Amino acid sequence: MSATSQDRILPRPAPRGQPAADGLSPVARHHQMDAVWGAPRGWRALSSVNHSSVGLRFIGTALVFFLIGGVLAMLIRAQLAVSGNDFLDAATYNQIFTMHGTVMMFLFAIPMLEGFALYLLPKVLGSRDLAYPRLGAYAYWCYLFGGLILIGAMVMGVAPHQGWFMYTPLSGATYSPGINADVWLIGVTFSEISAVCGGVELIATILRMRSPGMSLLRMPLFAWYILVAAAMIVVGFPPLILGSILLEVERSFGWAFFEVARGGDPLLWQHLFWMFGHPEVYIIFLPAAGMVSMMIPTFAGRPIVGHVWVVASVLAMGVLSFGLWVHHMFTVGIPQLAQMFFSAASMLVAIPTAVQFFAWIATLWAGKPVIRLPMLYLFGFLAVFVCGGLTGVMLALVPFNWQVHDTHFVVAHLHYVLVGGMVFPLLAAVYYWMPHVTGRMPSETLGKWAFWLIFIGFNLTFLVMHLTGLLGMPRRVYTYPGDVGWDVFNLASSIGGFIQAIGFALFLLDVVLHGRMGKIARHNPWGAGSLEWAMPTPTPTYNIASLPEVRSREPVWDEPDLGAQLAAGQGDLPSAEHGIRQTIAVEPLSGERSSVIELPGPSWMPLYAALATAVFFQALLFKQYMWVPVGGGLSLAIFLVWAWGTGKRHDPAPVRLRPDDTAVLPTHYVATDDAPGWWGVTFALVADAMVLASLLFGYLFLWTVAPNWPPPQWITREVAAPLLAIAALLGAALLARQGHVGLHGKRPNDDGSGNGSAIWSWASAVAGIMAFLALTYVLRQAVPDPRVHAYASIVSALVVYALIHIAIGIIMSLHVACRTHAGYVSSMRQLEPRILRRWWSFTAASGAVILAAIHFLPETLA
Amino acid sequence: MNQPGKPQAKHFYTPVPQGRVLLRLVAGLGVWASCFVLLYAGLSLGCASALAGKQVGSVSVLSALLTVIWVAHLGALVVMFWRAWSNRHVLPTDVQPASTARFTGRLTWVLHGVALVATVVIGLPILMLPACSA
Repeated sequence: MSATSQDRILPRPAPRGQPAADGLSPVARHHQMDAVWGAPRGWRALSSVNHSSVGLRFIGTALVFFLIGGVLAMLIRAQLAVSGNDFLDAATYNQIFTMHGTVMMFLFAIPMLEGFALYLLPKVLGSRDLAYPRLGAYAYWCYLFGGLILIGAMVMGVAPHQGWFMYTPLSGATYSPGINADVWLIGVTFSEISAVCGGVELIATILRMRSPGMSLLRMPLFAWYILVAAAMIVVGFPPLILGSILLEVERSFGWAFFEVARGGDPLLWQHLFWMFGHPEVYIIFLPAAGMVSMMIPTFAGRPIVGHVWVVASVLAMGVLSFGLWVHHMFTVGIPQLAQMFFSAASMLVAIPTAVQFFAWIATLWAGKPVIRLPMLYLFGFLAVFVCGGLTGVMLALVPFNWQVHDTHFVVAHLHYVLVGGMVFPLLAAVYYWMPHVTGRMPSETLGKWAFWLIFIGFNLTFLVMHLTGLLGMPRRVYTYPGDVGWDVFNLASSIGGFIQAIGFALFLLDVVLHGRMGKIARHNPWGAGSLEWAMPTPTPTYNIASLPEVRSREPVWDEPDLGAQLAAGQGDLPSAEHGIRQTIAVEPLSGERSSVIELPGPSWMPLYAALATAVFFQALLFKQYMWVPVGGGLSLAIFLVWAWGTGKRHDPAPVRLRPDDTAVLPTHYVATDDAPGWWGVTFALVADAMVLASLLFGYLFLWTVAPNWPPPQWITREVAAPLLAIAALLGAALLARQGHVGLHGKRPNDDGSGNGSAIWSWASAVAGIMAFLALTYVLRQAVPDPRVHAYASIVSALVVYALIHIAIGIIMSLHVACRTHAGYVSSMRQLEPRILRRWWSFTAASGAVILAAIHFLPETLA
Repeated sequence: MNQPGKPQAKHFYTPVPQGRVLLRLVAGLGVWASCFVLLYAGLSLGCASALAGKQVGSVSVLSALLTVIWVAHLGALVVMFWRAWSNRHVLPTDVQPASTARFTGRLTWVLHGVALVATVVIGLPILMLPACSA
């Protein structure tokens, strides 16, 4: 599809109204699209990277983990049903409750919601795929392999047993010498790579890959919720990733971060864990609430009430929820005033939550609600989550919190919040979007039975458990004496638990049966207004045969025959005869068309990369350190091959939006700001900056709590090497900048390549090597043995952080230089030098902060 | 002049000032976050330093310092909210179409207002409790 001299460089093609001029029938167009977008079959399906395949893989795998977590819950309730029970011994019970929490939080809740987001988002936004299909597939394999490490350990009887939050010093090498804690630290970290990759991918997709005309105002609420949740993942997960790395390094290599005797502090772990752990609750709630905000307007038959207030509430929750983490630590002995800051923030966050509830209720009130099966589950959500929210406000009060801390009251509260806030909306969402996936309707009868069993069973289990907690029963005890009055309540909870389990079994039965026996769903069976219902059901691999211009938030209500129009090719990019996967990128605010993104097809790279990463993590787990560089090196090599395969060696011509129209758009290869890679790197660096911020937090935290910190004898006064390192880093950043800026003045393809730019890339690599050597000298000569004291450990960790970034920067510089020589860079294709420039800028800034923290701050503090 | 099929680079280069608009939306919440971090960090570092017991007359130096941090943030938020509120009928020139400009304008003052209220609430305990009592 090349442009002609009559091409207009306009973002707007002719208005919709006539079928595309290629003469294809909707069926022929479907076959043409499916040939390009279709997933491979048989064992080759493992190479599929399409968002529907990857999303469904996430959902299916998370469902299996949910069943495993559910069985563990039943074992817990069986054990606690009566006092003095010897069904499970203490050691087994410890593994079971730890794995129940770990599996449900890390292997079910987050991946399930990410799976839904990966599957639904492009459909809701009217796009054909996500921003990074291969990264999504890599995220899935990391999640699966990380989960298998945890489940494998449980099967072998060496599962973690320290509680799902792995408090130190219990989880340290002294009190947990076996492999159990390592399994948690490595398995969870491996899985979290998946969450962060998913978060970055979702943000880039929401901001850039929507239907033309879908401005922020017209963007569905689900996308707003996912945008905020994904940003929270990017900011909230790094503290735990860092904490897990530090604890693993302490356990395996004898460094000191959490050990009081060596200048560390166990509370540092609690801070790092809950900096992740509390936002995690909202990361779980927000996507579910986003699904609720899509379903309620459908069943109320009207748009949501108070749209701007709902969006404001979601954004406010996303930020305020980072100010709550210490309310998990009210009993550890921090100053009352600090507790009050967190208590106030914890109560504040209830207000935006309530705003959303009132908006949902007002929408139902103002509309004509229809009670269909998903709506029943939504009523369950409204009732249960409100109760959980109210007990949350109770727990935000410091004196009450002290009374019920570590009792079953807290267990009941967290289940009300998580099951109410996530599981009920999820069940509603499964029923709501099931016809979209399979083209069949669920059974109303089975679904209603399942709902009432789950609802009654849940409340019997956990409403009663509040009383058990108020009577003083602590968490994490494997049995209790018969004379303390807890028997009746525990028995009721156990009976409730099993009723709930029967309900979930019925739900699953309904899901499985409907695929074969459910009634064929008519088009848009719930009468929804959002874009995914303009697609055929079951959804084809390409989602939508042509991309519509959106004029409101409920395009299907505006034009009930929109689906037919799009299938006839009346929108943008209706043809796939060129064999390329194409979709449109838009401006984030206005939704104006800005470029055409060309996406990759099936690839084995994600699976190979995840397998190599698995070698790396397994080698760490089993302390086979000679295999660590093998796994790491292999991963790096695969990523480089992967990266080499992207891009173009010529300036591609603009793409026509429709065969019968002269309007064209550039491809993402030449529209640097719109390129998916640019946004990915930017948000990945946000996560990276959070790792550094958490490390610096640890540095300052230990200074406030540990005696004689930093020890004066270890404060280094070496100045030459750090200054050389900073100068070299600044040099690398400036050289990389020059490599990018120098491309601006060049005419396209004036010498066939951007060879001039390559020199700057080579030079930045040399500067990077100098910085690396100077910092290595600092680490070896100026920093004491990290095994001696926490100060030495954290300083070493800071230097290692800088070294890793410099090493990556050097590899990137070499890569970009080679790519430039190979013709992948020109004045129009500037993406890679631009990414390199940003990387070196970040590395120089973070390196300067780190060296200042090591060489100038300690003297000030001392 | 454009060559056929090879348009000039500048036609394709789309700068993204829109990122700035997105940041402006959440700037008020950013000020809240800054206030929260500085109050907590200031309190923790202050209690571990020589400032812990220092008094000028009957006023704790640390409490006074925290109050200054709080009031400075409140001042910034009052200005931000006032500007967003008084410009609520003025469409920002960097946002298109007009419906989205109205939406982002409204969202901006609502979020700045939320941030202002949240900052008032989290700082009030400074006036009520001594800084370092456990």
